[in-house]
Amino acid sequence: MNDLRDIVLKDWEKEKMSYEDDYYLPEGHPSAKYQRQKREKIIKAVTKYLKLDSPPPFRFLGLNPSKYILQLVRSKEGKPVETVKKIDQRIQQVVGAATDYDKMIFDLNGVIKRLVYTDRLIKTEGLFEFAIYDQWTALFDFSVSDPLIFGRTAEKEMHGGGYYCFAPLNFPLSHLESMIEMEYLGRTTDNVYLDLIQTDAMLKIMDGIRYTKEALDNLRIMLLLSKDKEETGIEIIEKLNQNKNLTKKMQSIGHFGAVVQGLSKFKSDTDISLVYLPLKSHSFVHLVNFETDKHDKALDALFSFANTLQNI
Amino acid sequence: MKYIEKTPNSEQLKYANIIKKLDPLVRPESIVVRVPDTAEATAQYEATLAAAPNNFERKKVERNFQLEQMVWQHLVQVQFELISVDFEFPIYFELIPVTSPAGTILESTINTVVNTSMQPEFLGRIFEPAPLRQIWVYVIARSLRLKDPLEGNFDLERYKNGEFSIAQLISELKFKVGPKFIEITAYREHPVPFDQDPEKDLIEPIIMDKEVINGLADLKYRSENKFKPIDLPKNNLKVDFIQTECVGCILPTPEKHEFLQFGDFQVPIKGSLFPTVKRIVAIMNKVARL
Repeated sequence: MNDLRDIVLKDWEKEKMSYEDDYYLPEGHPSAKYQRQKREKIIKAVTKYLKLDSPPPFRFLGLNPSKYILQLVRSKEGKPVETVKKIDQRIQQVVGAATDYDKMIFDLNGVIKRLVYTDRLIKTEGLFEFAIYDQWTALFDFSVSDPLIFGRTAEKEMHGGGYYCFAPLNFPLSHLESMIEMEYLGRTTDNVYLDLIQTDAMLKIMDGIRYTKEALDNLRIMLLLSKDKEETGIEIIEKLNQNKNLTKKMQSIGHFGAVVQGLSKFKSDTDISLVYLPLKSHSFVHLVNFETDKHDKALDALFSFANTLQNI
Repeated sequence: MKYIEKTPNSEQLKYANIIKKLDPLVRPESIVVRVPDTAEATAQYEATLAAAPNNFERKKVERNFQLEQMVWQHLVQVQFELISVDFEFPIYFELIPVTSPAGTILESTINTVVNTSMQPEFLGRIFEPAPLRQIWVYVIARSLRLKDPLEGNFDLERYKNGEFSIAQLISELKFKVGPKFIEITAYREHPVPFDQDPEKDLIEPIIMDKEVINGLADLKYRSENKFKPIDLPKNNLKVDFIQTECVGCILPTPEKHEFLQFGDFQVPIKGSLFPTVKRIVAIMNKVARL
């Protein structure tokens, strides 16, 4: 593959890099133009969705790979020509891959206090197949009920479609809260949550839940209940699923099997597009959209979910 | 899970016949076939179902139990002995359920105990697309801090009677801990050469042995094969690509013996798994006797 962005960064490589405010790739790099375009599209989409004249306060955090690249350059010393070529190639790949970790952080005034955008490159099946998806992570200034998820499920692997619904999620919230309290020495103020929502660790936890057996199985059980025409017995899940306006908006965002970079070759039986984790006073929400650049649909689904949940 | 000597189903019985023909040195009279004792799990299922707080949880408990039952039908433990001075302890062939979000697949494992003293070791391989290579590398990883979690579980007497599946415990550890150590070893910037690490004395002859390396290469890994889960037969799901696979581990028992487990995702057992284990055990014994 010629696309430099087709290589995913390893965790240990990422640890050698640091986030910097307004860090952009140098002009002339193949991914520099793409990085700036991506940033502009997001700002435009958020401003338009919120019907504002100018963008809300935001920060752009770029992952600076300079230190790691310096290390790679040094490793070329005394190496054969072939190895040097490979290192040079990797340097180009690393610079491009680092842009996948760029973050746009918006501070808002409504039920959503902070909104974080990142995109992510993931390996799918086979050795060289990748998919990109948008991640919107939000901090709600309220907390309702138990953790829940939204997604689609079908009996067989399909190119999207199937049964879309909200489902409960058993997640050890008390463990997460204890971890947060330990980390911040009991100072669980608004600022702590605001900081936490943009950290890589929190993004990784939220995104990782989407791939857990527990979460995927819960959606599969929702399909069984629906076939048997039975209810869950969980009030909030029933209310959310009965809200057709909301579920329609949630369905309209790109789920993995349906759309991946305009290709229809990817199949899955169950995908999760939203994870909701309520904490003591706030809640964390993570929404994934495989139809990249369709930010309006993702924002509409996210804000509709926030408003519906607050009014339940 | 406990294993009991109960009439096996045809699927389980098949393995006893395979083990008989596995190696000319297998003592046929030593073969004991055990199957999972499901009574305890069934009682627990009934109690959990009764305590389910809502319809969703009830459905979940029911579904999970159905899936577990489908897995149990496949599980089997075959104990056998080999006419060989290297194999002082019984050998167990055991099918281990390996669960992933896509479903459960089976791993054929060979388990035995060797009377030598080593540090815990994990053997596996890793696909490394970055930064410089795109090849499979075989890695031997070592964890010196693994002794504590092993305490109490690796009792040789418990092992000899076969009632408790130590193989499942080892397999769990192998998959949880093994890949992490393999990755750490593969990616560390300045690996310690084997000859500078006196504790590597026992493992070095194993990893330098061509027959062992060829045997490891012939095993079936989750990285390159698609497997159909046994508990979701209606689905056409396949287990995903696994970048780092731990295929074997050597773990010390409190009695200063080594518990050895090697696994292969080739079911039923065939190919290089048993010959590789035999070779490794022979090398371990040879080095220990020197």
